[in-house]
Amino acid sequence: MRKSKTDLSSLWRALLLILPLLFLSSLPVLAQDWVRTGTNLGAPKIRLAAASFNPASADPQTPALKTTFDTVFYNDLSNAGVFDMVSKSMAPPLMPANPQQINLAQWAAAPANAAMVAFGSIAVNNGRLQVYGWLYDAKNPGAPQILGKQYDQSASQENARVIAHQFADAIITRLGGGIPGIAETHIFYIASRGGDKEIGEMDYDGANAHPLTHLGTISLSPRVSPDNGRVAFSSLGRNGWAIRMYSLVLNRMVSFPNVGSNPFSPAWSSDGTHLAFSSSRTGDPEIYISDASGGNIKRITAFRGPDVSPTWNPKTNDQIAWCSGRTGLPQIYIMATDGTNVQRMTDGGYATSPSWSPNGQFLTFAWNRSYGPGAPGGEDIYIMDIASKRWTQLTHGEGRNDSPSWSPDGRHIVFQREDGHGSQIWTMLADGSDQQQISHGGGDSMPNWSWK
Amino acid sequence: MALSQMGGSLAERRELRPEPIGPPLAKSALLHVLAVILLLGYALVHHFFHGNEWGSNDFQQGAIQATLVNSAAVPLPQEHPPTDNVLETQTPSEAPELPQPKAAPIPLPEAIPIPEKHATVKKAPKTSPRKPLPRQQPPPKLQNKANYGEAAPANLPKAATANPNASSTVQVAGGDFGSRYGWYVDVIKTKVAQNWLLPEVATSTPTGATVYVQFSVHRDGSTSGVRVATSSGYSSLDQSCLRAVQRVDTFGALPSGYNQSTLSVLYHCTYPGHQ
Repeated sequence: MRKSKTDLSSLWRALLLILPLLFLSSLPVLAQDWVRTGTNLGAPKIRLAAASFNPASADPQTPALKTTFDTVFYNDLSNAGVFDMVSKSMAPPLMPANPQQINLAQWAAAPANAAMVAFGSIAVNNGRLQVYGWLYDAKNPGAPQILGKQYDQSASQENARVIAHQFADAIITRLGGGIPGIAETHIFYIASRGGDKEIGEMDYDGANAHPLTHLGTISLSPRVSPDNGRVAFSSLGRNGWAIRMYSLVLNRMVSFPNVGSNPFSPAWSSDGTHLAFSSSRTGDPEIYISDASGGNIKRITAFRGPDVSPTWNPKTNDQIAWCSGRTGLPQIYIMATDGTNVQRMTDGGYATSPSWSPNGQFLTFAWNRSYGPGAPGGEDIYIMDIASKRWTQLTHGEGRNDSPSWSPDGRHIVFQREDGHGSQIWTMLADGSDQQQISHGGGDSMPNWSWK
Repeated sequence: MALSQMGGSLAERRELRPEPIGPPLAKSALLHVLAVILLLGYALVHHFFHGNEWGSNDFQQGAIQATLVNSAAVPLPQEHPPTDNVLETQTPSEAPELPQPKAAPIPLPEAIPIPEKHATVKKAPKTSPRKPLPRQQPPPKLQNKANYGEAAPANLPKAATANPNASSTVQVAGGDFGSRYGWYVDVIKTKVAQNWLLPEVATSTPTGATVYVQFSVHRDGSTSGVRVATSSGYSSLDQSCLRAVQRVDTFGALPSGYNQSTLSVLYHCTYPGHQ
């Protein structure tokens, strides 16, 4: 018996020795430093270098066009949101004109560290602007070519911009996974000039801003059709508010029937066959759907309280998000296009101006979460994942932000911001970064990003 | 006589009495129980405090990697053994001499030789001066090739390639998609990674759990046949990785230089841990 006792105690001693060893074996893992970046970004942005294009002709127009081209091209790639651009100061001071002249190792080495290089030549010959562009994979010298493009247009500043946009979009489409770039898209907006509010149009980067309509009245909420053929908006005429159409093909107003009393905020379905809008035929504003020609009007909401600002789910066209005041302050709701399956999305505050993301996954809207007497702050732009109703705040109190609109690639949002200097149009990436003011006029508001 | 008989029977009885079986059995059982506790304890400790998973290579990046089935080239042995005479000279040097054999131990004078041992003694190797080895046959001369003693052109490595289409029998082109179009692999990796929503994964999933999802990419960049190739054993992780691939409408058109109609992709999602 005594012997077995000593056996037991020696066993316990051995166990006591082994247990700390057990824990020690797992301790080094705990002591490791773990650094995680991003939320679920998963993969880093592509490091892209845009070489200065080689001026390949002695025409006196070349340097000016080359400067425009280089600047626009670099900005387009930088704005795309999918590239980590090599700063011009870090790129090798070279202008390779063609694949024979490029030394990929130079671009792949520090400090440029480029994974991709876009380069080429620009020339003016007999009044024609000719651009050859290549995209090379600097890390794969065995088979480096990804893209080779050739452009030929009449020589002008405008065409230098167009070619830069086109080549940048080709690169973004290739490396961005098949989603076309937005460098050739436009933004429609309300330009407030001298008491009137007219429809304006500008390039996505704010260049070429010009008014479209000259109605001499107040127009609101422009919405361009998916084929870029028409702009629908609500406008104050002799008989009150009406939905009106401006044809971008004919460059003039085209007729649209009267669809009811005080129709506001028309919205195109992504197939271009239907319009949704709000109208107060029955006393308070309700949501209606009509054909693109204004026929077959159907009412789809029937609640006390205003229902305004419809927007389609562009992925499926079988859902509509809108803004409803049925519980008091306006909130964002979604429903099927027959008016069923109503879900409230926001849980309080003052939420307006919904816009549905192209992939159908997100809503963006303006929201003042602490709305009320004496509450500080203003409206900010939020995005919400529809399935989970989780939201993220994108702007943080820099003025009053409203009227967000998705870009067709789903990576950008354009919105209006009112600060001490009036209302301006801004763009940002859909995660709230890279906010840029793109209009500098007086009162520009209610932007709407074109579909392509 | 009787006493001795009695004594003998006593000893016998003592011999025949069964040994006490209780204490050793208890000890043995205790040892086994302890061993089981130790194993369980180790497993438990490892389960809760593990982290550095075997084979995980990019933790910081969200631990996602795209691997193209097509590019997973398995090197096969070469048909011809590589030539030995890589650098052949006209005047081969003499081989170094063999080490001197050790002097045989001098037998003691009184030692008697054992005849059997002598019979099995091997003959010592000849110690004649070594001749240089005969020159090996040079590889056959090619008509159109300068021959200056280098090795014959190395055989290109062959590879067994995965078949992108289950129906087609032979794929002629090599599976070098990954090396030729590395940028497209990056596009696939990035797009799925961007669509992989970590909050969908149950937080009880252990760090490093990995699911392999297989799908085909068509020429227009669309996907089909998305399925779990190897489950991680955690359904929420499997589903989140599947959905990530299904959320992608297109990866963009396949590179025009790639002449197959589809590309098979094996994608793995490794859970980077609850954040």
